[in-house]
Amino acid sequence: MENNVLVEIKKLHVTFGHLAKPVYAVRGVDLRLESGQVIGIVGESGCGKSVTSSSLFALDEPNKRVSGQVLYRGEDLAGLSAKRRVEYRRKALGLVSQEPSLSFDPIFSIYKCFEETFRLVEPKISKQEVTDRAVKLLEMVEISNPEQRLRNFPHQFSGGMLQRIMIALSLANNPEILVADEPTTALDVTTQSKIIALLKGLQSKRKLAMIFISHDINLVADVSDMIVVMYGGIVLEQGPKDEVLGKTLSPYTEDLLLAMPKDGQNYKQERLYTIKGAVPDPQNPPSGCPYSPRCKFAEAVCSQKIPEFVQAGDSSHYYRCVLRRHQ
Amino acid sequence: MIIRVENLSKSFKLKAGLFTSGKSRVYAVDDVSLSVKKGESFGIVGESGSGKSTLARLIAGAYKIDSGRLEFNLTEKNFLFDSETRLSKFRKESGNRVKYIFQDPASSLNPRMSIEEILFSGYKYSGQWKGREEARKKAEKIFSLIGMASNIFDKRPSDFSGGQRQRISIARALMFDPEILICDEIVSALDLSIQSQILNLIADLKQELSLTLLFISHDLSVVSYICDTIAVMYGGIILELGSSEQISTKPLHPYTQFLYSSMPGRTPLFTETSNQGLSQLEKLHSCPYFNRCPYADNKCRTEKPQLKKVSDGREVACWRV
Repeated sequence: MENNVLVEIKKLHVTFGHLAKPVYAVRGVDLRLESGQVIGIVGESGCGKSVTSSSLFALDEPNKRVSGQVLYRGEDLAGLSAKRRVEYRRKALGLVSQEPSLSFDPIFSIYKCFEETFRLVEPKISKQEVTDRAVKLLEMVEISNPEQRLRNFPHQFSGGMLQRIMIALSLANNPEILVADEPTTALDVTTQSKIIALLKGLQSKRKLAMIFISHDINLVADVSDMIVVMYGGIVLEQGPKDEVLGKTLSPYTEDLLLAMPKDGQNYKQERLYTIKGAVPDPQNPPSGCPYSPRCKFAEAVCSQKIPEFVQAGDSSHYYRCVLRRHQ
Repeated sequence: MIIRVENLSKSFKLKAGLFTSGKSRVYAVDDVSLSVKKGESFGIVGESGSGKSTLARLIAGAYKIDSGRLEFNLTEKNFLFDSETRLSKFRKESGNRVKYIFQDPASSLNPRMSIEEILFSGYKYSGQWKGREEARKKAEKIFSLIGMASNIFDKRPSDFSGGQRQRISIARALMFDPEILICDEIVSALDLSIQSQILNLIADLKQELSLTLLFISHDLSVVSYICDTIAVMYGGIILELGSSEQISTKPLHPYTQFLYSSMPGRTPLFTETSNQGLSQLEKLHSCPYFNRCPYADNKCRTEKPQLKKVSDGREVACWRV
């Protein structure tokens, strides 16, 4: 069982910006990713979902301060030498990011993108081999005429096709972990469903571990085994998707599900359920439960300290809410 | 009918400049007809490039019409616009009554202007201007209507959150006592928890000010919620038109069927035969969807379908229906 754990994030805190007035992006996140598992992170903008997942890349940024540990197969990433860390990123990780049209360099042909990616791992790869392997990858993501398409430039593709190419590129070096950060947000509904089907297919065929990030809880439920609900830099609820959606424990998850317009709902018959207030300011996060200023159940205890992460029964369903525990 | 659109077309030059031929054009809206009843909320859905925003902007008077007619029957006057009408006249006549709310409140409000400047900069020149005092009183009334404090005149957009900025954007439109409000993707830049607040607000405003809404979005569940009638656009034409319930529960056009079954958590009804739409660089002489449609036959490839009435208030442009 322990061997299955690919990545373990322990007590991760990330702050950005000025020391005197930092932005608290992540405030204590624990997460375990097992091989072949798909974890979906849901949350609104500024909840820390992207920062959490990018901690896997262990990038040093000028004004970013990290505490806590990120373990890859039991090894702390912070302890790795710079060279080993680069090697780990190149071999173990793949990233599919949000806006496909902005993620490609317009003066690089698709062939160049693949060549560069392969060369990271195999510096001496021949042109013929680049072409052969790139064609195979493009076929895998269902791009027609891959040989000719390799010579094309990013502007000659639509958003959906670029996202397919990005998936092919992210899988070029056979990573174990794929981080998909809002991969379909910039795409149309019909394209989105095709990209999701492709991602799901590749994930199960290659037994990839995947972190799927989105603000759309339905989409996350469609893709992942586990759902992690984040708010204000901490995880409020986490568990198997049926449990989180069916036996919701955190009031925030409950409100999120209620606030979405449902099938057959119309403004003439009923008003939408609203959550009062706005997302907390990451520079002054509320003391206690970050959702307490907006929560309909909130009491004085809620704003005193961040509630503990509690297990629901003996399942793998965890939540943070003081009031639920009393019930 | 408060808005009547007849055979409206608009194409854009692909390249700008003095020495370009103007021969290569993008046909954004191609021969679209529709009518919106007074007090109705009319939704337009479609993917990017379907022409939904171009159509809305044509109705708002942002572009000159290529061909076709646009008719407004407002309470005070009626207007008719066609390709001969100059934009300045269009704006002068209808501009105050047809108002547009933009997608991203962060980029549609000038960060260097105070809220007062934002609200009054257009209103000042509108002919409804009766001095600053009057305008401030009016703005305060609107603030209470949209749930904002009344002492925000000197603040700037950066002092507000995304949802509040969108409220200010709505207030700017309401200054003119509009009859028609065009909402172009107004909730897609907002977080889910804020989205429902704004949608409820729009529904309330529509009721209280008896507005007619033209609501554009790619989010199908939002459009189904807030609209009475939905038009599904694809490749510059309307493929299907019907009440929001009919469209979302019993779509008739294969594209609408595919669109609604592609929502997260559902299984697509069929596999499309191509991932890409037709090029819009040529004028349409076929069904715009034929190359992706698994049911397409020869007629679909050679003749452009027109909207046909199938039942009361329900129109479909498909050779198979």
